[in-house]
Amino acid sequence: MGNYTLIERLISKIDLCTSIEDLEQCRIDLLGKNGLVTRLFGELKTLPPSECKEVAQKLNTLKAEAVQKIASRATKLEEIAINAFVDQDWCDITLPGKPRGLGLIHPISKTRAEISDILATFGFTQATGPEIEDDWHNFTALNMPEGHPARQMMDTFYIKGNAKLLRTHTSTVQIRAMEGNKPPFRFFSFGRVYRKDLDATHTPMFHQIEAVMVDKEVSLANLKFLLHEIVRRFFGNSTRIRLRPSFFPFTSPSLELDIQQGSSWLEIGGAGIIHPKVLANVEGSWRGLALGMGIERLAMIKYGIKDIRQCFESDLRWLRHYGCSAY
Amino acid sequence: MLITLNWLKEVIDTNASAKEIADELLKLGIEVEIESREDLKPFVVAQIVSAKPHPSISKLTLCQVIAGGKEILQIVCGARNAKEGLKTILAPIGATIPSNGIVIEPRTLGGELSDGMLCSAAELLLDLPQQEGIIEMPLDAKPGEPLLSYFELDDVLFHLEITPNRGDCLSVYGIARELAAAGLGRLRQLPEKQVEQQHEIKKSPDFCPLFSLWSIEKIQSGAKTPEQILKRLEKAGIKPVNAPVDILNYVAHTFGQPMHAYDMHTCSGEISVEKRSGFELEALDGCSYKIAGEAISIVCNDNVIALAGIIGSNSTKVKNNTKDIIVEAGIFDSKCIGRTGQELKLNTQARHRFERGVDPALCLAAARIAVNMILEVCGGILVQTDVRSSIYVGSISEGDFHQLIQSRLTSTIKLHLTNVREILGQHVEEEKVVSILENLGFSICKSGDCLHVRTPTWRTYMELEEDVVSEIARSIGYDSLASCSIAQNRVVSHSLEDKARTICASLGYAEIISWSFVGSEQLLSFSQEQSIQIENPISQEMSFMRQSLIPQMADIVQKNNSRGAKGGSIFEIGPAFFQQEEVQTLAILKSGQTLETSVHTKTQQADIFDIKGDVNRILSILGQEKIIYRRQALPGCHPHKCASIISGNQCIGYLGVLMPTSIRQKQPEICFAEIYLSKLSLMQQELKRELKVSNYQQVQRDFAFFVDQKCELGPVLDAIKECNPEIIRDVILFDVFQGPEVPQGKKSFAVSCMMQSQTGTMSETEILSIHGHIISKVAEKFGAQPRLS
Repeated sequence: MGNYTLIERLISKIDLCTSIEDLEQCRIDLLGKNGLVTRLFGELKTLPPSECKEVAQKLNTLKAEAVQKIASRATKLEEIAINAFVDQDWCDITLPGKPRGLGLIHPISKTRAEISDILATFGFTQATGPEIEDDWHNFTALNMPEGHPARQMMDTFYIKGNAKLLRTHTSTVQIRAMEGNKPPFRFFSFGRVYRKDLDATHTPMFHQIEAVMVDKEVSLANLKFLLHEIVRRFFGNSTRIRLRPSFFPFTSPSLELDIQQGSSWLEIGGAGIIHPKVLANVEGSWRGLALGMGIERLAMIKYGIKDIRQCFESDLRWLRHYGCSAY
Repeated sequence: MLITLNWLKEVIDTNASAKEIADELLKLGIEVEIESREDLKPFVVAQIVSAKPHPSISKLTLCQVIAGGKEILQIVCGARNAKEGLKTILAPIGATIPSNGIVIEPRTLGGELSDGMLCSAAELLLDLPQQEGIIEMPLDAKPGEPLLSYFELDDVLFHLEITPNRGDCLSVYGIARELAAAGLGRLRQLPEKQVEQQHEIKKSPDFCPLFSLWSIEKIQSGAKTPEQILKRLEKAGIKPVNAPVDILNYVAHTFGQPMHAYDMHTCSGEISVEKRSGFELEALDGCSYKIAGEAISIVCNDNVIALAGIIGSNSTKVKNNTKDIIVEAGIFDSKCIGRTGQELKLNTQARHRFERGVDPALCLAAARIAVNMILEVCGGILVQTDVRSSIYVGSISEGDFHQLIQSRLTSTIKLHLTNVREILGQHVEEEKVVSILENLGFSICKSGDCLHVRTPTWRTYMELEEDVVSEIARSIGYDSLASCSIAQNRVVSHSLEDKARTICASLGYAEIISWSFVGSEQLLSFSQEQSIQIENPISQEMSFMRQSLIPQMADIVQKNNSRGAKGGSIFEIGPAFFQQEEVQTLAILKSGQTLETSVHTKTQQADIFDIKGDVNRILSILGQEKIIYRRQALPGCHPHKCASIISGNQCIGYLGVLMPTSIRQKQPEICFAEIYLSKLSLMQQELKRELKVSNYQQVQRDFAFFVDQKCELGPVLDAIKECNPEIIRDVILFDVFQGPEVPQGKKSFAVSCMMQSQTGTMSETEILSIHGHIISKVAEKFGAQPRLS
């Protein structure tokens, strides 16, 4: 029975080990090929069966205790070692992080994405058309025949050598999307438009977004709702809006849309019920609404941009300030 | 258009304030800005009754001043022109100086009290010829008279924006008519007929439904235009000419009827209206115009003496010493005038009005008022017997003249109340419709299920039911109209372009937007095709449609670098313009440091492989597989560092490094890629097959070779993979170098091959066999020598 005491003494040494090596020696002394426990298990077969069972039980208990203690000591020693390692692994956490390239989206693109997302909730999908257009799509089909004074409202760029021009508005896409297609329609067009103008509020190239809905029953009341929704969702619930009668050759009735900023009202777009002469581009009896907005104008109001020309100067300091994250 | 409040009040009886008028006009569809000098209200005319030097401070003058009241004010003044007897402008106690916002208070200067301030034109922000010293007022100014009333600055100026469909609002009277209809006052009666002439009524052509000539003889030469008319014309932005012309302009602005005057002696003979083409006219603006298309012309003795409704000739104009004149007032076809005006690119007040429509019913009344005013101001007599005094009307009729105009120049539109409801989305009672329209001058006649709406003579561009509904809508007010929701029906619309934008931003590129047009030095065409040119560019730098986005982006990066940026990564998504098509293009460009300077990593300069890596990433996310880069010389680029990007046998873009512009200054390379988004095929992405993970061991073997310096390694890597595509999973090039140990004209490269079998652990023999195969193939195909380590 002295052997048991010896085992217990060896077991009690486990917790005193201060290194992985000491602990390994302990394990060898107890559980190794020639370890004490291993040896005593070997001697079991020399014992009479009556004692054998009892001794075996005792040995198993002791072995289990030893295994568990070694494991827990090993964990403990690992923990001590890790702590010692990280303790000396000092770091100046105030150093700057590693640089990552800063990618940004232009406020014009951001604004387009926001408006088209609002339009998407009402089922409007994107339609496209060329920027170098013909007179028919830009003027005549939009109820601005030659000699119509409204043509003077837009100072147009012409292409040398042919009768084409740079589109002055995205309304050209209305005609392109209608040609050869059947209503009902809900589409929007977005893109670059061109007018000969350059000052703090005008650039010769700017962006418009225009939404068109053609159906059996479409009214000014629907248009009012849509305009309110766009403004509410884009500028915020509390934004006040004002609708003023106006005139566009391709809508009747026509109106202009202002929003309140501080004490003044700023014009952000035009809209109306599509003129029957424009709807003559589709067969059958339909009614439609159209609304258009200047993207730069929306972005300038929402993001506090003072001079429209800055949008196209591409000063990286400006882009970092006004640019938006990709996500 | 510019009009003033007092001018407006000549034709409308109203108590409304300028603000109320402006608000109402805005509701009616006319954009307004008010310009007023309310800030000058406290300032008055003052006279210096005595002036002596300040006892203690030199350069200052002690002035005793009267300003209407009984008391004499003492004012200390620093202006050199302060002297006894001078009439000037006083800022009394409490007034705010417009130029600097200072409020005048009593104060003591060198022991002398000063009870106000004498002002200069600059301090009052007045645009007077005399800017130095205190204002020297004319002798007729009375002490105590408000500055505002003396200069008629109390008259508020309205800047009005009239839409092209509202020619009727291009006059003071037209605006008054709108206000009266909106309940903001009552239109005054037109002056009684004061002159009449014995007209010979003749038939005129269709493009000129009404034409009248009035001969006035023996007017006083050098007669002065009344001061009030001059001031109003100046405010309206109309240049003074001479008394008869100023009066015609004044009446035109008041009533909207453009009129013209000829020197009677330069047009002796009958005057007629014809359409002519192919002639030249020396106009009174000093320019010469060539008229190719048909223009309505006023002709005398076979000479064109005016382009009707646009401009008169120089030789027949009324000069300061002209004694006998002919006044013309007519109505001309708006489309003809518009076409001629557009052809000549000539925009005169008359054209502006005629193009938008002039009220025929007011034509003769305005002419009578103008002729009468000329007789009053310039003297002279209206000649009753001159052959040229005549009125031409479209068709000779026994009936009432006005009725004739009504029937010929107005239209009738059928209005169904159901359509009113459908367009507005709300029901409007018939009574209300009728009252709104009658109030605006329409006449209504009910017939069956619809209303026959006759437009008033002054309204043009009214053709359809919708146009009448517009009138109803604006009268009710858009803010009061119903709103009705439309069903939500969400669609997802993320285009390829949106995706590309997100990828580029996440790769660290900042989005820019640049002009679609460039100058000739910024033209770059990879396809070497001719550029599209703008006929009428805004400047030479914006005269060609770009075929590549790169030159502008290179400029942008260089500009930013000159502002201190050390490197830039930018991208743009926009159109490139080719003869046959517009291609939506994604361009990325990198130059200089790839990342900011950092303690952690060495700074690196961007090179073509940064771009190539990003292009690979972008195209793979956009679903483009099997991309090939084909060496191709590109204009404006480094001869070796450029390639076309090929996908499915189609060129979908280019990448490269721009040609350096200087060899002495070491410039960072400008690396770019341009990808034609509209040429990407959207269906290319193949369906994924089932993933089979091999559980057998992966083996890595490294190889090193010497090859010719100019041997392209891309094909070598492909060839190695080809040796056994089943087993060789990956080939990684990890080293390329030239140095002392490398033979002349050669380079060394090293690759790792990852090998793994799907069917079992590879034996040493198998590995050796593949090993041998790789070495012999590379040696045979590329002349490479294995490098023994």
